[in-house]
Amino acid sequence: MDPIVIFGLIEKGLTLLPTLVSAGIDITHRVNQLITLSKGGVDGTLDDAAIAKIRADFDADLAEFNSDLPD
Amino acid sequence: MKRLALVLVVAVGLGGCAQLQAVTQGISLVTKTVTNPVTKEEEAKIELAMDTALQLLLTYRRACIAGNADVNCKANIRMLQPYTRAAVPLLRQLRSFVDNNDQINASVVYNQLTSLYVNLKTAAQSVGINVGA
Repeated sequence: MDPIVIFGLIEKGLTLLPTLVSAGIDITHRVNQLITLSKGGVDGTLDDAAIAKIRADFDADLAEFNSDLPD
Repeated sequence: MKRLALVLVVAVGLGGCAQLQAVTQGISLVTKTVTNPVTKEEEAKIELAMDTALQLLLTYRRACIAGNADVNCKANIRMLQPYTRAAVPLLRQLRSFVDNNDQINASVVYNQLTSLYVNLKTAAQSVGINVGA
């Protein structure tokens, strides 16, 4: 993957982090995912397990947001 | 409690703007074609960007359920859910196509996700949530 694209991703992620902190969101996991994705993309070590973890996390978060709200 | 609600409203209003704008830009900057394929890394990047944007909406939802968000929060969330629900089958298709290196269909679904997020942004604005120009 193009390193420029990776650096752009890091920049976007870092820009968003203060907003997440302001909303009281624990960013540790998010930062670790950004590091994994950026490092793995640059040095070619991004494995299927890392991608599967990103997919699983997104699935879980989408499922929570998409569930019906209580009345 | 009021301070938390205010922070969340501001975060969704301003942060959501930046986040969804970033997501939209991240997706729409490059229209995918067969000669510009969707790699696994790019797919992971899109999913992580979308999930990061979703964190604010999730926080808004949790605050809404706890009674700490604005009075219109349930209606706002229900207005946005059709778009986030529509993303689920598209993501499944995208993952399958990328895993099988079916670049023709991967490009089609990738571009459908782009349209979905543009529509989500428009819908959010229509209920008063500023998610960017």
